[in-house]
Amino acid sequence: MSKIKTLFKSWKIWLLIVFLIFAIVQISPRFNSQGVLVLSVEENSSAMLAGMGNPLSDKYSKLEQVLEIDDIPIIDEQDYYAQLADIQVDDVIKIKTDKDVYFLEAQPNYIIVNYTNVTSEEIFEEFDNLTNSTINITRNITKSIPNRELNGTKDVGLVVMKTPSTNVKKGLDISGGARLLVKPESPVDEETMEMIRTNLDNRLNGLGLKDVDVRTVNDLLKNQYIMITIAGKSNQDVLDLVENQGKFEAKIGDNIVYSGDNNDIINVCRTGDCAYIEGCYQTQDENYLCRFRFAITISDNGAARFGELTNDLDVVSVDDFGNVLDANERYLDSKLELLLDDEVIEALNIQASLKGNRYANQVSISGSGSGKTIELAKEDTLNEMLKLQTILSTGSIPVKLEIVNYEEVSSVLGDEFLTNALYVGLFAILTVALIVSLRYRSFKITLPMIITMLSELLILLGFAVFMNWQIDLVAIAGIIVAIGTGVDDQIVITDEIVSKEDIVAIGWKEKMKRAFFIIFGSYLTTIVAMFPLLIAGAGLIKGFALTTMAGVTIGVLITRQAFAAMVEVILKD
Amino acid sequence: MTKIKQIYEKKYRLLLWIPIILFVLSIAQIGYQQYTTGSFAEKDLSLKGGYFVKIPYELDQDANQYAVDLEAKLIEKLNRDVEVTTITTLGRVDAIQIETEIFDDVGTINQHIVDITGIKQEQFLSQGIVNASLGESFFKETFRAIVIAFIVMAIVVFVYFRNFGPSMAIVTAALFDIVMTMAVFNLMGYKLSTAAISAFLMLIGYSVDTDILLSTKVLKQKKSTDINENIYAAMRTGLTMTITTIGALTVAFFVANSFVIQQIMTVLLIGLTIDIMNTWIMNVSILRMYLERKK
Repeated sequence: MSKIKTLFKSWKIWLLIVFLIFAIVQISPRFNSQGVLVLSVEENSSAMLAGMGNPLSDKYSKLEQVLEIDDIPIIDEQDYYAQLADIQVDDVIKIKTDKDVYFLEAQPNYIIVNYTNVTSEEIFEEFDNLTNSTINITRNITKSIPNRELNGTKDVGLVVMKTPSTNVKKGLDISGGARLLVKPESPVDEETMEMIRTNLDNRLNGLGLKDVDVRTVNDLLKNQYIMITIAGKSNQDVLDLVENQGKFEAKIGDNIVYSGDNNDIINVCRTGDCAYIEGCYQTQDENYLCRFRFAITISDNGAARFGELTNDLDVVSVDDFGNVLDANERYLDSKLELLLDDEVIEALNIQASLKGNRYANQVSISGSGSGKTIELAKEDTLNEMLKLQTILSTGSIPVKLEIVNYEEVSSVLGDEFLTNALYVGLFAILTVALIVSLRYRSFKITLPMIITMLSELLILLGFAVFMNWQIDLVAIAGIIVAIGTGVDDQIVITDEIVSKEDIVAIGWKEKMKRAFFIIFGSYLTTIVAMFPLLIAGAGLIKGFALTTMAGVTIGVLITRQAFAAMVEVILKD
Repeated sequence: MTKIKQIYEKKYRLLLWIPIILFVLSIAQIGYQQYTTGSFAEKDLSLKGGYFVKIPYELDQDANQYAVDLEAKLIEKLNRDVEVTTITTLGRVDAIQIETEIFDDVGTINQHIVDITGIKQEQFLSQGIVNASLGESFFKETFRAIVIAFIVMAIVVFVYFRNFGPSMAIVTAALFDIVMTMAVFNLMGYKLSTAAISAFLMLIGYSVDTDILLSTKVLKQKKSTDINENIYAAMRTGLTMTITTIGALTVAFFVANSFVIQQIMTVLLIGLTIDIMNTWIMNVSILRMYLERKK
């Protein structure tokens, strides 16, 4: 009993206790994890208007937790979506979080159902080359006015995930998801890199992917990369979106009419009557093919350039077979070519009536998709359309990107890995305990060793949460290695203490000094050896170095000190 | 036993030749590998580049035969080199990995895998692309990193002990560990991965631990004058350290279902086993010679 008292007189023990409390607070295990965490809030959504804001940090502990919707408790994501499924316009949704109560007004969702064409006569001033004077010309202008119809309510604008049972963040290979590492084909400055990053972020969001993280990273050879992490399942579309530069141009002959770089695309139609599937048919190899078509709105400058360039073109009034065409069938002798990344995606005949028209600001773009059944073909076509729409509306990336690494892990595998990692840790600790029990045959030594090992694990995890690190497989390997080094040091300490050498001659202090000389030496060498890994390989295996370095540091500064104090008190008579 | 003890205590100059010969043989192995293949170790997909798919395996039939058949079918369909390997957890094959060096048409590759195995794409456990350029630059930079880490480690040791002979012994032991581990790794037919390289870096730190222990015990012992007693005391501690670590790593190796963890454990296991010889034969011999000269 008196020994326990002496134990608590040591500041080393108190230091350990303080850090253990810190770790538990950081990890904050939740035994009944309720609700969903808000990962982000969409701009101008009803949630944002009601006062919900984007989290300041992506640490789990800093995220707002949705507990109830309309007084009904929310357990997980399914509950959350189910509760919001039947919202009607003008409904007020009460969302209770761990921080506040919000009242969200459901916003109506309108879609374009069709267009009304309005033709009007308008007078334009134009310079006439023949008379060298400004003349007034009357033209018939047709404008398409979209008709909108109410279609349910908009999403409230929250991206959520189930509240995890601890604050420890799982890495990609444990939580499941996809990670891409892309590299510009030629070096670019930091500003361009940031621009590419923003653009990719917008594109992936445009694709409807939630919880996407896009960041820039460098490595030891000063290579620049962009790392994209997507929670949940990704698909081939992501690769396409990243690989497409998205350089959009429209040309008549060699002249550029509009280009994405001049901000000539002011709107890309996504829904309703101006974005649709035109029709499907069966191909010779028994697959189905569908075509999509959607409209884009061109800037006034672009439309004016179209007018200028078409003015000089001749009207084709006789077709290839020598038949004279009707007035409304006539077209111009050059086509309007639409190019994406220097490849022609569409070559449109220009109606003769559009000649010199400076106000044609709608252009339709088409494409196709295919599949084994008509449903699959339609799905693929809509997907292709969404991709093209996203690329056109987010603008181009100034340099071609190369995918250097792509990894996708299913969440099933991730769960297996996690359970397995826990077993690995448990069995490793048991093995160590068994070996030291055999060697020392004393509970008084084995017990403090096990306590120290577990404390190290706990403090290391707490520190990882504090630093907002993700624990992936290499990080787990790092934890095992760090704890392994910890055991080594405890053996050094124990052997110094129990050695038969005359205690009176050398003294506890001297023995400890020598033990810590050995421990500190191996600590320093481990740290310097791990250092390069922090930035090598674009940080893909950084987790290993981080956890090892943090683990051995925690060991040397906190847990080994406490272990020395414990053993000293227990063994000293 | 006493005979062995006698040899160990007296014939240390002769014993020193064991690690030296093994070191030379290891250099020869690595040199041969470099000469015949152009690289001192065979690289795996994470360093060489390529495309991989990991699919679950739940059939009752012989997994190895299944892998061989699948490989043959895929090579025929895709008309390119494909490698199919089995992944074992706790002695049971529970997944199959398909690798190919070319990844221009991932969609087609996946489709063929789905057609042959009947496993839907949604059920794929994982898949990934590594561009050869990333693998190459990673290999280059980590190789540089290993050299830098080694030099800095050596500086730390020299500054820490401020004693040329014993410091040199520690650094040489670490060098021998790494070179011999590389050679054994090659001989066992393993391929080098990014994870394995990080384990080699860790080995630099791990392998000097017992050497530092030994040198401290022998050089800083004040009362005791018998060098053998100090060496045996250090050995008791050092071997306990190594055995607990090897025990934990072995368990981790067999229980882990992750290839990444298994690779890291493999490198460390080979390295620590070799370290037993390099510390307790080579380092001890050099220390004895150093102390002899000092007398």
